[in-house]
Parts: sequence; structure tokens; C-alpha cells
Amino acid sequence: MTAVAAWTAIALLGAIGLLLGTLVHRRVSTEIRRRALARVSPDLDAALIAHLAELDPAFPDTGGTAMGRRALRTTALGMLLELRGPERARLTAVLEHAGIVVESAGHLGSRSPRTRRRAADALAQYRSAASTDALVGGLDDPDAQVRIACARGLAELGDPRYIQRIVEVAAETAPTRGGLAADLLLALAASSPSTLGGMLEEGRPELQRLAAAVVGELRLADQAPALRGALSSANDAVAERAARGSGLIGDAEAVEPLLALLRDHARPWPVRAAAASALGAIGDASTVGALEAALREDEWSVQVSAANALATLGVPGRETLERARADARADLRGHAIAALDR
Amino acid sequence: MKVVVYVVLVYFVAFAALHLALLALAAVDLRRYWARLNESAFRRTVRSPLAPPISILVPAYNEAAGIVDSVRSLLALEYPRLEVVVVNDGSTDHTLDRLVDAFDLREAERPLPPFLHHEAVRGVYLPHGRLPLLVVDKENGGKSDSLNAGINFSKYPLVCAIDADSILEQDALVKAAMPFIEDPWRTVATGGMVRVANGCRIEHGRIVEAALPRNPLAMFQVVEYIRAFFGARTGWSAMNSLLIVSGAFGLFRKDTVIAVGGYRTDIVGEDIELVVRLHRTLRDEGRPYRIVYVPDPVCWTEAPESARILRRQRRRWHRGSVETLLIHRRMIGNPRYRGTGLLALPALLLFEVLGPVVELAGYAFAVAAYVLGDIELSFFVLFLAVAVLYGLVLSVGSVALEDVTFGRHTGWRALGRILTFSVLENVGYRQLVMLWRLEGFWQLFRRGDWGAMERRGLAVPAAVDDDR
Repeated sequence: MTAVAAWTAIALLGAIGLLLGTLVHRRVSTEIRRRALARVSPDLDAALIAHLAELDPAFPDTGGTAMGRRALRTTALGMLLELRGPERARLTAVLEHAGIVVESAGHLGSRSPRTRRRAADALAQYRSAASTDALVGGLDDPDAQVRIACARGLAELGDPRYIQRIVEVAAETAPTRGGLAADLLLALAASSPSTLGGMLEEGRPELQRLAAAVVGELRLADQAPALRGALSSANDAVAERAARGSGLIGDAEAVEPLLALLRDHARPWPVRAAAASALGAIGDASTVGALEAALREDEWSVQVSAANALATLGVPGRETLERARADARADLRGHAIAALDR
Repeated sequence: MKVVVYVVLVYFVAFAALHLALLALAAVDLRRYWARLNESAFRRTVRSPLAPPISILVPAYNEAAGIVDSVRSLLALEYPRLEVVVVNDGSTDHTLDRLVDAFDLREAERPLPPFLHHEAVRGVYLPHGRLPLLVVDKENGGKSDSLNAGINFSKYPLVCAIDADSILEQDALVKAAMPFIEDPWRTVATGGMVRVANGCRIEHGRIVEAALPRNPLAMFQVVEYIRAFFGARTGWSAMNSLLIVSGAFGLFRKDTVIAVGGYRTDIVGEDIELVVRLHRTLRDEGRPYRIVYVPDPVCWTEAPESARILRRQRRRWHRGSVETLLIHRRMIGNPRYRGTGLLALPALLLFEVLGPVVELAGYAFAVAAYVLGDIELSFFVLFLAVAVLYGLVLSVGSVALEDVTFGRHTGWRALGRILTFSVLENVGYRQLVMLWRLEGFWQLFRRGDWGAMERRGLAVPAAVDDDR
């Protein structure tokens, strides 16, 4: 027994030594890398800014070293989300000239999923036509994250030849990776908004929900008819998102289907509350009667949405609220007072 | 006597195996998280119109000194859409006046939402401008009661429960919301890592410079927090069996919290109990769900620097764990609740709740066995050495994980101090905390709260020590 305890103690001491060794090694190597980057970064950053501001036509010089490319890539990735228009195009040209786009494209062939994900994510941000072939190849990657990032890269480039493939990736990943698929749809909305309309008409419910959210939030008025169609979806999440979207766009032709949603008591409250809010946002005074009926229901969230919607419908809406303020029902009075106060 | 010693040995081996497994799981999970952190998803989320809006709930009791700075820093957090709901829990100082003056608030008419029960609301205040702030002034009812009121009056689908003195990182909400964005169907709660703010330079409710505390008690807690958050919670989360989402920072789906009845106001461990109830209800309903721990330092909180307050805190924490186990005792060992029932709750019972009893009894029996000649001195000493060394493996392993991922305490001196306190905690501090936890047990027995727990309201204001 004593011997077992002694060996255990020795093993634990060894484990502590190993952990400490790893810790010190990581710290030292990180510090060496940080210093190496700090040596090249300031000059490169200054040269890059001068080039982007068109003060210096020469491309920043990475010295052809891996560390130089790394420093330039890190700075560029930090700037890409901020830049628009010609500055962004110039930055992409800098990355192409420095061989960084080709380097990242090469990393897409790595055996490590982590390396491929980072490469795909970087390529999606570079928005370089030189990366098209690599991105198309990445659509068949076994890793879903790589496929989504490559599809996003292609969507950013806006090449119509690949839209069908992008839609397939979005449809396949929407049920399990909603956030990443939503990102993909946001990118697609910029280059091909009609594709989102198509998704709303015949996509899977998860994809329809995301498409409805994107169309609404980006106020893609051209796609309002497709959004209107989604209002009658049997899927409540899709109908709710479509209702919110119709309200955000202010689609006057959606009033009738929205009224049908509001009156459909088989729908859960979030759908009916979204329909009430959308009617308020559209601002059609003919909906006052239906909203007043909703205000007189017992579902608290529907009542709040109806009251707030009435408050936005001008004189008839406010008159309805004034009447409700004198109602015998305390909850009605409360909702009316709060809505008039907003 | 030997039997008892063997029982302690088996217990120790089981504890060691579980915590080593958790540490290994944490290492894998952190590596995965770290790899994804380098992608652009976080930065895009900050701008995404699709990020789910969040209501931040701030229960405040006598927080006049710091509430304005806290609210200002919360309003300035990086997130596309958020509102701050401050619940003034019957403060007897000028908390409400400070808020009214600083944010130009006016009293507004709002009907009382019917979702969760809480103490009477005295008034609702809104800014004259478009600032996304709402202040609910209510009768004193404690932190859980205030959170329930905050949930009631919040308007967004995600609610973030924090303490009034929690200091959030600028990107805390983005990081905590990522699981909701990535997997909106299943994610119901996320918890973030809480760090000790003592010693840090704080300006206008923000951490300007991370540093270690000078106070030894706070230093011991730094080690404890690193071990608990980097080792255990990351590991439990990887198994979808996380039991604690810290009261200092947690993000929840509002509809799910309302569906399970909100926070209980009659217990002290409302944070752990809510999470266990979420596990229980969602499993009972057969609904797929995730409760995720985000292994990222998103929130800073002040740790007690006096033994008196630390003792009170530990007694409350321990009592909270016992109460939760009692309420949900049917889940313990029940395969229906998978990892939560089969592993996490039994581990909470054996190693957290009964830990102090077993460890202190172990010391006593070992001494007695040695005196009676049942064990040799060499074995006794070696066993103690193994226990201390094993604790060190967990501490150093967690510190290593923290250092190679987020490394907020840079510099060799800081690392040296953390490691030194990892060793020193085994001599006195650990045993003292064990005694305080036993007191938590004792309080429950002595006050006869076991049966009263189901009924009695707890009119205890949110105290500075509610920062688990």
C-alpha cells in the first residue's frame, strides 16, 4: 500500500513537472512569436495604410517571409470588415500581390480541419476572384464549417454560376448551424436577393425562417411577395418571421394575410403578436377593428402588441385606446394607458 | 478502522478520476473554442441584424455608489440590440434617485406583466430620450424576486442575469450569445466565465488593466475560480450536464425560463436550482436542449477579502447546493436525466455537498488509525502528499489551460504568484473553507429549514457575496 502511494506521488510530481514544462514552453514560444511580429508589423502597417490611402502606389513589402505575410494577413483581417469600396478592393489586391490569397487557398487542402476552417474563413473575407476555384473546391469539403465559409466567400464574390451550390449548402446546414447559415444568407442577399425569394417559396422550414429574417431585416422590398406567401406557412416560426419581415418592409399588400394570421386562434401567441405589430408598422387604419378585437383578448402579449399597434394608427387608433382607457377591464385600461404613454 | 480508511481511499480515487476526466474534456473543448474564436464570426455577429436582442437584468439593492457607472458601461456594450432593465429592489439608499438624475428618467405607466410572480412594483421609469433603459422600482424581495420582475418587464427574447457589481467585457454578450445564434433551436442557457476583479484597475465600470489582488484571501479565490471555471465547468458543459450558470453572468431564453416558473424566491441557491430545473423539465418533456458554458473570461466580479464575508458566502453556496439536491432528489442517479442525473448530480452530492464531511472525517480517522497502529506513519504522510499533489495537478492543469488560451494574467511574476497560492491553499485555506461549508449544512439542520424550504419567502436583499 505504501509503495502504491509512493509511486502515485512520483507520478503526480511528474505530471506537475510536465504541465509546468508545457506552460513555460508555450509562454516562451508565444513571446518569441510576438516579438518577431512586433519587429515587422509597424513598418508593414504604415506601408499598408499609405497604400490604401493612395499616398504610396507601391505594395507593402513583406520581404517574402512567412512572418511578413502573417503580419500583413493579421492586419488585413482586422481591417476587411471595416473597409468598403475602392479601399477594400485595394486591400484585396495587396493580399493577392503578397501571395496571401494563394497561400490561404493552399491551406484549404490541409488535412487539419482547423487549418481548412481558418483558410476558408479568411478566403471568404478576402473577396478575391483569384480564390474562386479554391472556394468552389471547398464546397465539397467533409467539414460543414469549411463548406459554409466557402459558400459565403462565393456569395460575397457574387458569381451567378455558383448560386445553386450555395443554396444547397445553406439548405443542408440551416437545421444544425443556424447562425452560420444566416451569415451565408446575409452575404447572398447582397449579390442575389431574388435567391432568398426563391428560398422562401420552396425551401425547408429552417431555411425559410432564415430567409424571411434576412429579407425582413435588410428590408428587401423586391422580395415582399415571397414574404407574403410565407405568411400562410404551416410552420409557425416561418409565419412569425414573415410577419415581422412584412412589418419591417411596410408591405401594404400584406395586410389581408396578416389579419388572417391575427385572427387565427390556432396559431401560438408569438405569431399573432408579430402579426399585430406588423399591422401597426404598416399603418393601415382599416385594421383598427381587428386590432381592437385582439386588444380585448386574454393573451397578454397579443394585447400589448395590439395596443402598441393601435397607438401608431393615427386618430382612429388613439380613439380606440382612449375608449379602452375607460373600460371596465383593468388589464385593458393598463394596456391602453401604457400604449398612449409610449 | 481500516475499513473507513479504505472508504476514504476509494472516495479519493473516484474524485481524482472524475476531475481528471473533466480536465481532459475541458482541454479538448477549450482547444475547439479557441480555434473558433479566431474566426471572423464574432466580429460579424456584432454587426449582424439577425443577432437575437438581449435584455440585461440588473437587480440592485443599495447600489447608489456604483449603479450609474454600471448602467453606463452596460449600455455601451458591443451588441446590435440590447436593453438594460434595472430592478431597484426596495433600496434604502439613493439608488433610484441616482438613476433618475443620471439618465433623465420619468415615471411611466406600464401594466404588470403576468408571467412571473414577484413583490409589488412601486413604479416604472423610462428615459426621456431613446436610451434603451428601463428601471423597475419594487418592494424588497431579494435577488431572485428582482430577476423575476426583470424577466416580466423585459421585452427581448434573451435575458442576461447579472449582479449590479458585475463588470462585463465589451464583447461579453456577443460571446455568450454565439451558442444561441449558432443553434437557436436547442440552446436555452449559456454561462460565462467569471473572474476575480480585485486588484484590477477599474475605471467607469470597466476593467482597464487586469492584475492580481494583493489580499491573500482574494488570491486563493483566484486559484479557485480558475480551477472551477477552466477545469470543471468546461468539462461538464462538454457533456451537456452543466449545473451552475453563475448568478454574476448568465444568458437565458426568456420563454423557457418563464415556462419553468422563473427563479425560486424561497431558497438561497436560485442560480443552480434554476439550471437543474431546466434540465429536469426539458428532459421530462423530451425536448432537445443545450446548456452551454462559454469558456471565455466575460465577467469580472469582486471577491470577498474578509474572512467574515467569505465565510457567509461559502455557507450560502453550500446551502444552495444542498437545497437544490433536496428539491430535485428524484433526478439523482436517474438514467432518464442522462449525464445530469447519472453523473453531475451524484458528483454534486458526493464531492461537493458531502465533500467537507468526508474530507474532515478522513483527516480525523487517519489520525486515529495511526494512533491505534492500523496504518503506518509513512503511509499516512504519503497519502497526504498524494492528496496535495493531486490538488496541485488540477490547479496547475487549469492554470495551464487558462494561460495558453486567454492568459489574462500575463508576466512571469503573476504566474508565479498563482502557482504559489495553488500550493499554499492546501495548508489551512482549504480546510477552513471545508469548515465553513459544513456550517452551511449545520445552518440548514439547526434552523429546521429542510421542510420550510418549499413555502417560506426569502426577504434577503441581493448581497455582495452573490457572485458564484
